[in-house]
Amino acid sequence: MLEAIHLSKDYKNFRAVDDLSFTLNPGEIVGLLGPNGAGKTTAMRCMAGILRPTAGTVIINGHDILLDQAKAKTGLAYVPEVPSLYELLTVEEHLQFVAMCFNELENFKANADQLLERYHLLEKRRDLVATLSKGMRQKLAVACAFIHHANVLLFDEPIVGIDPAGVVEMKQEIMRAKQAGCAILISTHLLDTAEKLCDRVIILARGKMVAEGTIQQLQFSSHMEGESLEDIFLKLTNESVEAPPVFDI
Amino acid sequence: MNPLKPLLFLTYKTTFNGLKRAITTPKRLSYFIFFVLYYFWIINRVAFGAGTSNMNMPSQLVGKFQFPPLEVLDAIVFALFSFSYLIMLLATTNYQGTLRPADVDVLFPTPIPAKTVLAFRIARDYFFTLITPLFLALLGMRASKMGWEAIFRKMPHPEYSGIALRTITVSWILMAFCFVAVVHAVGLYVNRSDNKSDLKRNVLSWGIGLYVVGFVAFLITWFYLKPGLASAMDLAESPTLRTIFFLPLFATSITMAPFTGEFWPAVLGFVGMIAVIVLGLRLAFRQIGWYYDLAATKGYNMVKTRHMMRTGDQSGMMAERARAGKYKVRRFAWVYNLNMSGAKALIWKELVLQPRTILPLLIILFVCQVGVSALTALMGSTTVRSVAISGYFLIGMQSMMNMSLSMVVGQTGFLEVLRRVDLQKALPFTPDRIVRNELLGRSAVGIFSSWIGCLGFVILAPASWQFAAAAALLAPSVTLLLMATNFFVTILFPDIDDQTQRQFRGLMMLLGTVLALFFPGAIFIVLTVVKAGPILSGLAGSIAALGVTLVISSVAGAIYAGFNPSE
Repeated sequence: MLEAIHLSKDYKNFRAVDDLSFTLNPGEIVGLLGPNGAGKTTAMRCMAGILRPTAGTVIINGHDILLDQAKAKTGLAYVPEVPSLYELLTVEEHLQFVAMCFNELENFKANADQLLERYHLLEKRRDLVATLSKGMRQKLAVACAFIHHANVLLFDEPIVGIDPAGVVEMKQEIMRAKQAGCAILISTHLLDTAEKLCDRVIILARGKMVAEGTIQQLQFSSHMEGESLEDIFLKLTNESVEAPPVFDI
Repeated sequence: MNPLKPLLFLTYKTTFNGLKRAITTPKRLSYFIFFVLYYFWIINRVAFGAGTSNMNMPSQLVGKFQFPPLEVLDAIVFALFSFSYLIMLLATTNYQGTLRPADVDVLFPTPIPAKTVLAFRIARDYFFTLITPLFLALLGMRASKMGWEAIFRKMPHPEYSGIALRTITVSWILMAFCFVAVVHAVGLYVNRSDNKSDLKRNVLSWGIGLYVVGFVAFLITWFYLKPGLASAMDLAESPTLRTIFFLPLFATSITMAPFTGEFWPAVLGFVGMIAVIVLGLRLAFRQIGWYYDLAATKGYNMVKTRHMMRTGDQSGMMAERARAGKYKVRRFAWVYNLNMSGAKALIWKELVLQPRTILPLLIILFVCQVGVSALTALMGSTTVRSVAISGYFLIGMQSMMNMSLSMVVGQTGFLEVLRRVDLQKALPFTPDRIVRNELLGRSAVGIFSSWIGCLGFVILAPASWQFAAAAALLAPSVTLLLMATNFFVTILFPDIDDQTQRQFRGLMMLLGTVLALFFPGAIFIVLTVVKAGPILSGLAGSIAALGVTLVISSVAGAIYAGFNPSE
């Protein structure tokens, strides 16, 4: 469903993502982990077609994001870490705008009502986005991701800034999407969440993929059987920090 | 679905909701009404001459007006288009994207083709490029109406006057379109996030800069060697110049056609401009792969920076520069050695931060303040009358300079105070004390430069020492008073994102300054009139200013105590 092929992204003379390759399969949740500045958000933005990769590409549902952007994005939903939304649209208009972009206006009303109810935004439907709290904005961004029938979901820190009840709902929503056959990529700092939610994890450090696999595979490959994901993560990312710079232009 | 539909929906809804928001909240409605009335008053006065009595004068001159020789008119038109062309050139390397952060997060990941988004933005930018001169034309319509009538009535072929107006409009429309197309093409080429873009932009910027500076130097040399109208005509008709300035040449050919009756050059000019537009658009669309990338990395920051420039948020701008790695931290060792504990730490913080945010402005204002004092001293002679005039002039100028300084320091600084309210209110000081120390911290530079100015004045004009002493006495309290007024108005109208409130705040700032200075000013003037002497007048004025400052800062402190930035 989603395939990153030798994906690299440079900002001037700094390589933020370095030769990242992986596959995201239907009905699978993959966690993209890494310390601050590891390149998770840049990688996500490249996959969402916002940033142009310096090298490599991303294939979504068989369509190259560089060559056939519109078709590749049709099945894609992206929720940024701190979503910037259109402040002067109402909650409902925001959903409507996204539905229009994805040509999904059929049954919009019913879908919107369902999502607004699920995310406790029904009472706010006629309020401007500018008046929403941080958590509500996050919920609206997630609702926008589900207003069209995407089968590849990219979540950048999806549960940061949401209240505990919202976190539970968010996790349920992600599991529902997984059961519906969606391929889900979650970038997160929260290792316990990744451990419980993800089928597989990718660990990035300085833009490079330092490990990939299930928790068991990572335990085995790093000779840390029985250890938690947190310990494995710290060992792998510390090693990569001590290693020589990944890239110099 | 037509991909333009969501973009039109977005534009319509955000504009409509913005207007609705402006008129449905009583507070915002009052700003909106004030804003509209204020601009209506300006337009009404300037464009339609309400309240002016001398608007008949041009009609008397119409009869005397002689249509200039066509060569002269051609040279004037060419010069005007060349001027706008040079301005356009200087802006070529800037990224002109007007994309918002929400576009990056919401619009870009959707299947709307990037080409459609770019086309829509070009159309929008083009609309705004056209609308600004139209607005100015509306403002100047009445003032220039008689002149236009005279030109069209007395042109060689008056029957073509209707066409002349249309060709002028067409020239401007095409010129603006050329500008938008070229700027997008070049902007997308030199502002990318890749490795070579910085080099490309620097080369192009320097090239354009040298081209413009070289041309200005050439003009100066030309007119120095051959002054006069005939020389200007020679220059305007120079084939070399017209080849280099081919775009203004095209626009001039179109504009001049009804006057000269020569239509082939106009056709050629029209085709030439269309070719530039097509080429610019083609180049812009060929780089479409970079459009979102550029907006997400660079444009986003530029939009933020532009917004901060509009709101006068110097601290935010410097923070943005620091984030981009373009800011070198300045450290002044003497500030670190100051022993300022307790609430005085707020003053210390200001002494550290001010040079980091507005150092160039502070230097300019300092130089101006000292320079004005020195000039005032040199202006006076030894006669009693002259000494008094230059002395009072010094006091007036010092107050004016302090007002400018308080505007500059206050505008950027007090927004920062309100932004950091959660941090500062948690400190172990009363809100009153926080406000007072913030005012002191921001006034320090103004007081210091006033005193240096006064010292310079005494050195250059020792006979006027009493006036310098009066100015030195007035400087601290007047600076504090102006800062307090600035803070008071800022905390009353704290919304920097609301344009109407921003405009309203600016006007209130002026009104507040006048009202605040009224009482100390009146005391100073009365004592001066009764010949109490400059020092006594200055001292009394200073005490009065300090009293008003205390009142204003106490009220501001009370508002600050209850201020919640989330409301």
